[in-house]
Amino acid sequence: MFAFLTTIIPKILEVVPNEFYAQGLAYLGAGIAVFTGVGTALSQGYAAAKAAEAVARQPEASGKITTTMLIGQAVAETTGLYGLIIAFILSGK
Amino acid sequence: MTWNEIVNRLTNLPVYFLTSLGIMVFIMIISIWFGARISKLDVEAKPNKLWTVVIQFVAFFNTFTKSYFGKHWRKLTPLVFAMTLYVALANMSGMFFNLTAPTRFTSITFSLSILSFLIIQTAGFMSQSWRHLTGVFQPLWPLFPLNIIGDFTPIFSMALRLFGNIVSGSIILFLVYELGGWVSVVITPALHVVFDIGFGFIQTLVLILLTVIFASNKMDEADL
Repeated sequence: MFAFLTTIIPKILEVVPNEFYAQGLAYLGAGIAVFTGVGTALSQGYAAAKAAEAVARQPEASGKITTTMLIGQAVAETTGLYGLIIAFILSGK
Repeated sequence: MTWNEIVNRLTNLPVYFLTSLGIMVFIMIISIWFGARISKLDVEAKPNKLWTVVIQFVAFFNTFTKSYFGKHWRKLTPLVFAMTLYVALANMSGMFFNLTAPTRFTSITFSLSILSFLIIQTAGFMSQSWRHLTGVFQPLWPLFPLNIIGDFTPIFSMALRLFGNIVSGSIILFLVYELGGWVSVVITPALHVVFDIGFGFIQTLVLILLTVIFASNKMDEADL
């Protein structure tokens, strides 16, 4: 096992920075940046679940509850969009 | 030559700028025409359906801003209403005539959010005249840097929220058109409805509601 690692790892670390190095790492960074959507998706799903519970408790207020939920979700989506904008900037490099 | 190149050679402007000006001209023509026709109606005459919708929409908007602005609603509501119409039409204009929506570009969304910042500060000055500048030191004077930062960050967040939503919708539609083939004829009407109309209206609502609520925070308690 140890002999296997000592033959593989120097070959992995032999990185030669040619002209595609910066662009390749920028694409990789763009892929990681979109990962901020995980928190956004979880939180927006939780807010929709609470809105569904509120409608079940009082069905005649469903118009107001829907409007409030949509406004809250549009504001909570902003931080997920920041990651998308970073990904746009990075993938244009 | 494509349409973009023709426009670029004639006027030296990008096409989305002319789309934005065209939307403004369209809104001006419609509102002057409707205003002239409606002001000549009798009070007892029953208008037909289109004018009833327009009158009810303007009345609903007036009631909505009156509950937030209080005494000064007559001077601030026309600007907010014009912004509503412009943003709603500009978000939806990706559907018609192969246009690109002007709010897809950060120059237009940052201009809109700077206009919103000016509306908020003007509302503060209208209600409190020079005491508004001491509002930064409320409620405790060491909070002065946090209050200044909290005044300027809505510029960034409102602009990037509108830009990000419209750009992501337009990129998804572009990909479906390019790679779909015959399937895209079936799917894209539904996608247009969800992305262009749905997200466009929701983002308009959020922008206007945030502007009105921030402006209402800057006003004095006695004026509300």
